[in-house]
Amino acid sequence: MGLSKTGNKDDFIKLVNENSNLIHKVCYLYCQSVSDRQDLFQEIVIQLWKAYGSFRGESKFSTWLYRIALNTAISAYRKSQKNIFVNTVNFFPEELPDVVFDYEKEEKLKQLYTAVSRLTEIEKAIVMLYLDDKSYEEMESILGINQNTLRVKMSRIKDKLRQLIQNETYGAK
Amino acid sequence: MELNNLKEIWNDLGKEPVYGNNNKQLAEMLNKSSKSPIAKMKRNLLWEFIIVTILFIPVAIYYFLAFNGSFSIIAWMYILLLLLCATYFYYKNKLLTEMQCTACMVKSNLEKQVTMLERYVRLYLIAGTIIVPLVIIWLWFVVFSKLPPHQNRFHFFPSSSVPLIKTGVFWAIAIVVFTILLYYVNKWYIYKLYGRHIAKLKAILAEMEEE
Repeated sequence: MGLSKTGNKDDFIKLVNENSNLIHKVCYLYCQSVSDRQDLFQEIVIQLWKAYGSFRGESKFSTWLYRIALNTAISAYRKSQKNIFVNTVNFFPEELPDVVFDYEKEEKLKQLYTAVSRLTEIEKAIVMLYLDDKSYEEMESILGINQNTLRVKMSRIKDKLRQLIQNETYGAK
Repeated sequence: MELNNLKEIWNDLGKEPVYGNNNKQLAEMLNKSSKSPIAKMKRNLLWEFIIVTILFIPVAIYYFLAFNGSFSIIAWMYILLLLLCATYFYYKNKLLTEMQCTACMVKSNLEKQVTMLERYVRLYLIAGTIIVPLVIIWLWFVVFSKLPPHQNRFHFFPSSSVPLIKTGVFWAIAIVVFTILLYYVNKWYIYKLYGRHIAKLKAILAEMEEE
């Protein structure tokens, strides 16, 4: 068992590394403090590892990964109480990657963060899949919400985000 | 600002690591225990069972050996109680294991969690309530059958001056009062433990279902 388990472990770590962007995005979306994000990242990796043995390739690997990451963020993880009330400054990553280090982009990202933080857990998941260019069919296979409902929800979320971003930019009326 | 315009920025975000992406850190994570509520509940359940076993077995052994074995009935009652607890813990553990399916669709995982958690809470409430009449009846049996010299001091045991019907009413009142009292205490405690979590899951589900 030793060898095959080690082999599995190596494959698994390689897969996690290849798809770590997705896990990072879920962490940024659902947690505001650095320690919560790290806890969630760790919890997602643990849940992925627990489920890894039963992955049979019936669905796409990314679908499987999205399901586990979102299930963990939405229902299998509790944020630490002390970190619930944090401000937008904490919500914003301390070090942005070089590629984003332009003020316009930074400002937009800040607005996106502030607006998204006011969405519900499910709305966050839908926005994430939308921004990741997932089709409504894929969204349905990840979330279990039918495509028509998803379209309606997406349109409402866009309006809500537009409003939130507008309020953030020009101040709430 | 349109959502579509944010896609590029969004993709850049994933490049900012939450954790250093090194293999050693990831390998270490795989050996850590989950902090999910269900994993914590499973760990607590195991501890409860260990504590009950550690407490019950010495008591049972004591009653087998002390008083020349004349109180061995109490020892057997403890063993029976331990077996009932083991069955109860086994069933609870089974429910907790079936409660989570992280690889399932988000909605079906939530539905499963709500159903199983409600079943779990019901079991908790029923077991916590039913234990009251059982313990009272057991106490009556032990005191009545093993401590005959004290019988006449209480109205709780039939004697030449206390008719059986009168003691029966006393016991029935005690059982009803304590059972109702503990039912509400249990209900409050269970709600405190799981109520908000169930309500949160139901609210998420309702949001998923609404058009």
